Amino acid sequence: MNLPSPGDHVKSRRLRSAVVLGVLLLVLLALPFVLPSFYLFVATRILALGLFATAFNIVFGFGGMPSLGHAAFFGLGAYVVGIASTRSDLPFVVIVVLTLVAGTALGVVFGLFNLRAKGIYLLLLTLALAQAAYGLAFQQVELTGGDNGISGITREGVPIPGSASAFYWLALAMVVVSLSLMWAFMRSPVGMAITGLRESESRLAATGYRVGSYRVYAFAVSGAFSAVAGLLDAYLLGSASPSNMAFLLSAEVMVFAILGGAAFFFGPFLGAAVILSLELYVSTLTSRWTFVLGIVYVLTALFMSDGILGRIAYLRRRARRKTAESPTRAAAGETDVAVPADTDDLVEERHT
Amino acid sequence: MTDMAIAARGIDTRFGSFLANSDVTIEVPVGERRVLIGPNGAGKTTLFNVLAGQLRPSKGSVEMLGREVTRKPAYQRARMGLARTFQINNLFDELTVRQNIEITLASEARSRRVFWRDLGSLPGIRARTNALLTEWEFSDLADWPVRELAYGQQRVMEIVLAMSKQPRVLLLDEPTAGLAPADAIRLTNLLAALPRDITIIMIEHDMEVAFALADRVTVLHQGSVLAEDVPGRVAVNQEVLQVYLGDMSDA
Amino acid sequence: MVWLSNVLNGLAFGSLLFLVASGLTITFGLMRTINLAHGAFYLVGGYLAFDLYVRTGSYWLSLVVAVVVTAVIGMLVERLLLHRLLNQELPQIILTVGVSLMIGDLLLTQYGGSPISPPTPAGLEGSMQLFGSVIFPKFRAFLIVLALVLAALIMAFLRFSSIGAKVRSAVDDQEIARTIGIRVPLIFLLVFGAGTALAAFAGVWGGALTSLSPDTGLDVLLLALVVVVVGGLGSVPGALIAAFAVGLLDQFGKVLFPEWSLFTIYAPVALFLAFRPNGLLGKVESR
Repeated sequence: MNLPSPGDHVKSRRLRSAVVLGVLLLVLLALPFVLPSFYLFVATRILALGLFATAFNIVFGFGGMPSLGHAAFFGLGAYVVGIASTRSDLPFVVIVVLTLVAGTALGVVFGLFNLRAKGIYLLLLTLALAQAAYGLAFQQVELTGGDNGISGITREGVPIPGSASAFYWLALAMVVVSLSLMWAFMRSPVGMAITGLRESESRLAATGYRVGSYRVYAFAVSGAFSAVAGLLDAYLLGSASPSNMAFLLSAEVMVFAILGGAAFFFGPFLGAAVILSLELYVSTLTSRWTFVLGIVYVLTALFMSDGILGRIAYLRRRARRKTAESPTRAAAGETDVAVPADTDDLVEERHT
Repeated sequence: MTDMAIAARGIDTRFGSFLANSDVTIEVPVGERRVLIGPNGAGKTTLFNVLAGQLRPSKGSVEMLGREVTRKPAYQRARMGLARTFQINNLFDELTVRQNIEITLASEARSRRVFWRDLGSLPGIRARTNALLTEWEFSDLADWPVRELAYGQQRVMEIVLAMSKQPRVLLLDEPTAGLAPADAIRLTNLLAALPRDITIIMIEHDMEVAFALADRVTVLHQGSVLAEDVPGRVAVNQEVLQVYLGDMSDA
Repeated sequence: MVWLSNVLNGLAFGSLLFLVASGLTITFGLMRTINLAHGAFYLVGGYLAFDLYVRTGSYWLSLVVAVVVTAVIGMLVERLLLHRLLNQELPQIILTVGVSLMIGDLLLTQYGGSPISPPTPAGLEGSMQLFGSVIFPKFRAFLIVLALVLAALIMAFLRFSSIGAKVRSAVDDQEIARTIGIRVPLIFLLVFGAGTALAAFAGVWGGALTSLSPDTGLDVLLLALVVVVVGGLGSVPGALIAAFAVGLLDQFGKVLFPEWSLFTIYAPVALFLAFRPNGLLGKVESR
């Protein structure tokens, strides 16, 4: 029997992925030259929320921990910007560092609270933590502006302030760097152990990993980059408000991840892009976007729980099954034949 | 004292009002191959979880390689040289064979906190992974997700992962469970060929496998130790026979 | 005696939370179905009753019709949507959040965003004097009694009626329930209908206690979720205790540390759950 040799197509795949990413990046860089300013605003928003969804997915899709409180990190980033930029003239770089530190610290708190919780309990524990943070944002009026939030956040300190295109490029650069760092992190021993959390905590412990630590690491890294996403959003909108920390945003980021495909590194980003683009389109037709969003949630839950990329991967696998046969099951005459994992695929599946 | 690989003394393990282990004492010298047998519900897997650190006993103490470990969790015992397999395949299913081995190898102190380098590119890890893949004849399957492997191959993977860290104490929970007879024989031979300096404690239902591998056999019944002896004498122990015959008539 | 009226106010709010949580505890605890649209059904009940009251002038008729109509909507959601997602926590969450977004948007377009204040029923207006000096609204006192009675009724119902036994067996093991002839889908439909009916019932009373606006559904839902989980999934007495505890925490938090008021509820709850993930009276999940 001729065994399929995954090694062969890995190299060509890696090349193809690099080309696709390169072209995509060029297109993204060129957007400000072709898009009217409102569309550019939406594109920047997609970058921020796409980053948020990708960071969320470290805990959710990779770590297997369904957090329903991630808005806390996003909102924290927004408030760090709001408070730092309106009350001080700290340089942009310092504000970014502060955001990273704050996000990491809150992530550690989340991780420590969730050392053991699973399933429903983890959902509700993260929800309770986020509500506690929301309460602070809402009630500590002195610091946060309460219900009104903080407005008047300017981009004066930002590199090349003023121009919307410049801010778009800055956001793009920060998002690309953040995604690259997260991508590398998820392939490192720590990142792989976080993936191991999802697969089997008992095996991970029996292997010599301290499970609780890796839960904390997952929340810390996820929290740091989620906060950066909140920072971008605050600069973009010029304000920070309790809605940046609210339950509905925590639910929305979960929908981003699931709709795009939580099993894939780029799935959540895609989900954010799809929903925000849809919002843009629907808003031109009706003012009932919330209702439409509700429908999107319902349809996602019913029909898209593997996400868009999951669907694509499934279709591709089925097409490829005609050419490759599982060495293990073919002998048993099983028809449900699998193909090797694509270790360097662009739409990387979670097990790689 | 110090030549005991594992010494658990006076172990009680309680779940609510149910006593799964009752005053169990088991001492296994370094290098011995000990097989635990006993009917279903005798408390074998519970005892295993106590030995591996996945459960804390309600009473009693556990020593490993001369050190008190009663309160040490599983991951610390693993770092001290203990490895285990699971009764029901418990692998990183969505990950590839290679990644399963890599994660296992990376659990050592110098690599498990590395977050800035690719796991596969760490010095030693790739080479050792390849060596293990070759040694255990998994090279052709290296890039397959473990969930796609046949059941028997997954059972072997359990052992590969346990062995990959060169453990000093190996706990095997029914390694041949659910295997076709031919595969069970293959696996038994594999186990028999493991280095003699590794202490092995094994739960086994198949008496032939048990008696072929064991230096000594411990029989558990209703949470307590019923007998402990060399295989030849356990096989003719009247009490043991009664328990097993009784068990069969129940079934 | 200020503290006494604070205690009573806390208990009154806790009673409202129990009314909301009782429905959640049934669906969420018994069916293992997470219904985050519970807050939306609370709103539907409250708004419908208010609307009907304005049109008919009959308080009790409005209440009954609102509860029944909401229950029917709930059963439709269960039958048409939620039933396909048994035992799938995450899709259930997304689906029910989606349903609550849709309901919320419909209510917003129908009734507008500004708060409404439904009336208290006849006979419960005004206040009464307790222990000589404490003046306490009759409506709130009634609410506390109502919560206690409801708790007793639900517990008795689950214990003594055959439906109670069937629900519990359907939940403990759906396969076995099916094989002994219990119609699990029907049971789940009825349980979910009861849950949404309770949500609507709570909405009618809650509207009169705190006023209603499209936002309040979510606030109440999240607090009720806390109550259900702290009480222990599926435990009615646990939910009652937790509801009173959260009500008191809320009241004293607001009075003593107004700038920390939501924090004083959720932070202790998070701590509690971190150490006791099964809640006050929840049964330990067997594994």
